[in-house]
Amino acid sequence: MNGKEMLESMSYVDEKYIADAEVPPKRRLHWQPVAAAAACLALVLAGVGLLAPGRENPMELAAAHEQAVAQLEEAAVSEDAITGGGMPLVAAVPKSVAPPEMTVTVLAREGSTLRCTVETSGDGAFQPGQEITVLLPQEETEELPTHLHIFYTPEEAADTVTALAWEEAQDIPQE
Amino acid sequence: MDDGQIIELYFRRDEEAIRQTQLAYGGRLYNLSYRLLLRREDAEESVSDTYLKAWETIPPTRPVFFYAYLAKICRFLSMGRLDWNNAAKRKAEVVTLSDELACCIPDVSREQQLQAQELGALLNDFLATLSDENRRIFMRRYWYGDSIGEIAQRFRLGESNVKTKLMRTRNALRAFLEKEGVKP
Repeated sequence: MNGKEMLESMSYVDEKYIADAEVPPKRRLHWQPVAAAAACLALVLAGVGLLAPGRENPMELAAAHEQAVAQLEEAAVSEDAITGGGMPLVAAVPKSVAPPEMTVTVLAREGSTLRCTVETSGDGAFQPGQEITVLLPQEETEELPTHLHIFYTPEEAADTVTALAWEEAQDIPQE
Repeated sequence: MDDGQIIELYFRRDEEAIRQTQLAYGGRLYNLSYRLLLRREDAEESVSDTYLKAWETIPPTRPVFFYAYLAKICRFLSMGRLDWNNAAKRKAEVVTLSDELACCIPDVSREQQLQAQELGALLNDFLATLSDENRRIFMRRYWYGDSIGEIAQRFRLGESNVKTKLMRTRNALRAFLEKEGVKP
């Protein structure tokens, strides 16, 4: 056995590993910078409000300050807020930066790669019934429900998306 | 047209299947083959033979990962077409790859030679032990034949980081093969 044979034997590697290496690496969405940006925005808005005429009264200033702090606390949610009980981060940022969403049914799972059919597509980018590949964050190991509501980012391949966040889907239409 | 629809065309024995396959994956298959062969004519023939092989094997096979299925055929055919002497003269990347992998072989004088298919099975077991990122980097280098720079760019890592990860993975492969009995 030599290096050439070793390289040739790579031809027998399982297709799931070949497919897995083909998809672009997931660009993990870092929620902290987004939360920080939302917090800054809230701070700026609060500052504008404080500087507005008629706010010179110390009591009003204190109330405005408390309101700004409350807005900051709301906006600076942790990254699990979107799937946990807290306020989803997408609600804390302008709608224009919220990722697209859709509801899918999981057909098969290979590690972090899901084969799914589209149930409903929030932005109409996919057709109901279309088969697509959904990529999960690489360390994801937990059991998943069959019907998922996902927030996603598109990938280079037309039928592939990367899930940014997901939850069990409700109200899936029955056939 | 998505993969499922193309595969349905194969099952209906509709020759449009080959045209759609070419449209969807022709370019990527050619790049894969050319990267190994560095000869345009050979790469084109490998891709054409890939379509033919897919036509012959679908059905009964219904690939789960259609591109991976095609790419596997294409790589297999390209490796069979590879002229190693000529590749060495042209300092092709494939020669560097084989030299790197030679370091993973515990004992080159081993009497009982492993068949490529057996070794492939062992490689599958080994890949299952790696982290997702290390496995993808290993596959990009030794299956797709990507350069270190391309891998670094793809994974947003430094080149030295990629080299280190590959070296550790090769060492782990060597240890794995030894553990599996590929040793004196």
